Amino acid sequence: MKAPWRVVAGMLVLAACDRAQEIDPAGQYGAAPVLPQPHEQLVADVGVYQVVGWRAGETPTVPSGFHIEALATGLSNPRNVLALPNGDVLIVESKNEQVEPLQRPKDPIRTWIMARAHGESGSGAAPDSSNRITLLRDSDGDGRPDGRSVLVDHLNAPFGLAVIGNDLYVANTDAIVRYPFAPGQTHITAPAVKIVDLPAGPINHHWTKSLAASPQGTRVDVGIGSNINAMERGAEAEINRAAILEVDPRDDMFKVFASGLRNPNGLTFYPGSSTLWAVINERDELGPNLVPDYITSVRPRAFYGWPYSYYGGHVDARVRPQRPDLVAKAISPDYALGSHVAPLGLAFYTGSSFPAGFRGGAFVGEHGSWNRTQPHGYKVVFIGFRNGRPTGVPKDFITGFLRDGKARGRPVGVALDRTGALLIADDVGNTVWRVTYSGRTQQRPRPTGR
Amino acid sequence: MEQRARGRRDRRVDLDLHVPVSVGRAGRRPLAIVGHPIYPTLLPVPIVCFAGALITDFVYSNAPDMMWLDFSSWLLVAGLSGGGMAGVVLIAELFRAGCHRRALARHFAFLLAAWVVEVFNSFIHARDGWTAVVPAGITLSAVATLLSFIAGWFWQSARATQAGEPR
Repeated sequence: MKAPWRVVAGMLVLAACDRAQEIDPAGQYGAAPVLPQPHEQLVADVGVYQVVGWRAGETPTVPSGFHIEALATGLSNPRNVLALPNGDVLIVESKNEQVEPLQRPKDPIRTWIMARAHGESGSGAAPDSSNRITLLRDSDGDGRPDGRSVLVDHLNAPFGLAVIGNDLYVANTDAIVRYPFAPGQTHITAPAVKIVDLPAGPINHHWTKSLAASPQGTRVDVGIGSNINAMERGAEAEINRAAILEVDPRDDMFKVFASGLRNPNGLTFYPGSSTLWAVINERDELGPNLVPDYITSVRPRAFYGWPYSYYGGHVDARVRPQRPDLVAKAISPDYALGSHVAPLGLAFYTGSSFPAGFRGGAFVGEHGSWNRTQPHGYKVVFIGFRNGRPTGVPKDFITGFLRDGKARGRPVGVALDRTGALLIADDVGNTVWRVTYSGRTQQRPRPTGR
Repeated sequence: MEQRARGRRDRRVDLDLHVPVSVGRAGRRPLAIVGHPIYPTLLPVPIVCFAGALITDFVYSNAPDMMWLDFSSWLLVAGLSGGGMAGVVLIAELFRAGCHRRALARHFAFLLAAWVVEVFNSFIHARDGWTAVVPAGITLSAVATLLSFIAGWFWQSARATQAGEPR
C-alpha cells in the first residue's frame, strides 16, 4: 500500500529540485553572451504584469538632460511610428483579432496569460477600434501636434510602414499594400493596391510584419515571425516564416533574404549603408536566461539557426527531426540584448539634437518579458555604435514603464522625427511619447513654477 | 462455496476496526442511475487514455511528428478529467463500501497514484517538442499506465469481494 505513495513523494522531490540558471544576466549582452545550459522547468516561469495605464501627468523616465512628453494619447494599441520629412508623424494602431486554432491543452492557458499582459482582462476601458494609421501634424513646429486625422482605416493588423517617393507601403499581417500618398495629405481615399501576399494563414502566431525600404527604394524587406515557439506547429507551418523576405515593389513576388530568425522586427537599414539590421525575439521555455534576444546586421541568404539551434551551433534539443546540416550553416548574431527582453523596435540615431555620443547608435524598444519571474526589458535601451558595429553594453534610456509590479505602458516601435527627437509607440499605454534633449537648460531653474 | 465466501468476509470484517457503524457491515449498493452503477462507466476512461498516451508517446519517440505529442497531451487531459470524475464517485463509494472498503481502498490508492503521476506528466508534455516525451514524458506515461492497470486489477477483485464471490 505504501509503495505508490513513495513513488509520488519521489516525484514531488524531483519536481522541487529545479536548479535555476544561476548566471548574471549582465553577462548576456554583446557579441559573446554567456549561454547557460537549457533548463526546462516543470512549469515554465511566467511573469506578466497588470496593465494600469498612465495617470494624468505620469510619464516614463528619461536620463538627466532629456525631456519626455506625450505626443499623442488616447490611441488604440499604437505599435509603430514613422516620422515623415515634412514633419508629419504616422502612427500605426494595430490589433490582431484573429484567434489561433487550438493545438494543445496549454494553448488556452498561454492565450489567457498573454491577454493579461496586453491589458485585455484587467482594469481600464477597452481600446476602441484599432487597425488604422493616424496622422499627426505639427503645423507651427513647436513639437506639439495641432492636427490629427485618420490617414487609412480598416487595415488588417498592420505593423510595417515605408514611404518610397509618393507611395506609402503598409505591411498588413497578410499582405503588403501600397497607397498613393503625397506629402501633406491627411486622408487617403484611393484604394489599396496589393503588392504581395505574406505568410499569414490560420495560425499566424507572430503576426507583426516589419517593413524597411532599401536606401535606393528598389526593394522592400519584410520580417515574418515564426508560427510558434520552437516549431511545435510542424515544418509546414513555417514555410517562408522566421525569415526576412525581399520584395521588389514593382513585382508580386518575394524571395527569402535571410532565414532562421525566429521573430524579426525593427527592420532598418544602417544610415548611409545598404546593410539591413533587425532585432530578433529568440525562443522561450528554456529557462529565465535562455535564449538572449538580439540585434544583428542581416547577411543576405544567411541562416541564423531557428528552430534547430541558437547562437550558431547551440542545438535546441526540443526540435526533432534534427538538422545537423543546417546547424552547421547557422551563424551567430552580432549582439545579444539579454534573454526575453522582447525587442520590437529599432531606430539608429541620425539626428543632431542629442549629444554626440548618440550619433549612429541604436535605440531598441523592449516590450518586456513574460517567460521570467524577474522582469526584463520594459524599456528603451541605447547601444552605441563604432564603425557601424555595436559596442559596449546596452544603456537604459527610457524606463519607468513597469512600476510597483504594474505596467503603465510597454514600448514597441521607435523612430526619429525631423528634429532628431525620439518617438516611442507605447501599445498598452495607448500613447506615443516624444523625447527631446534639453541639455544644459535642464540645469537651470525652471522658468515657471508649478 | 457460498459458505466459504461468507466465512472470508466475516473474518475480514473482524479485523477491520474502521467500519463506521452507521453504514452497516455489508455496505450499501453502488451509486447508480436508474439502477445502473456509475463507477464502472467512468473507470475505463483514465485507464484507456493513459495507455493511449503511452502508445502515442512511443510513436512520437520513434517518429517525432508533433501530431503524436498533441495526441498524448489531449489523452492525458481526457484521462485526468475522466479519472477526476471517477475519483469523486469512488470516494463516495468508499464511504458506502462498508466491509468491502479495504479492497476498494487498494484500488483507489493505485488509481490516485496514476492520476498524480499524470498531472506531473501533463506539465512535462507541455514542453515544446522532443523533451516533452523523451525521456521523462514517456517514462511517466509507462509508470502511470502500469499503476492504472494495477488499479484496474484491484477493482476487479474488489468487485468480486463485494459480490460475495471467491477470489
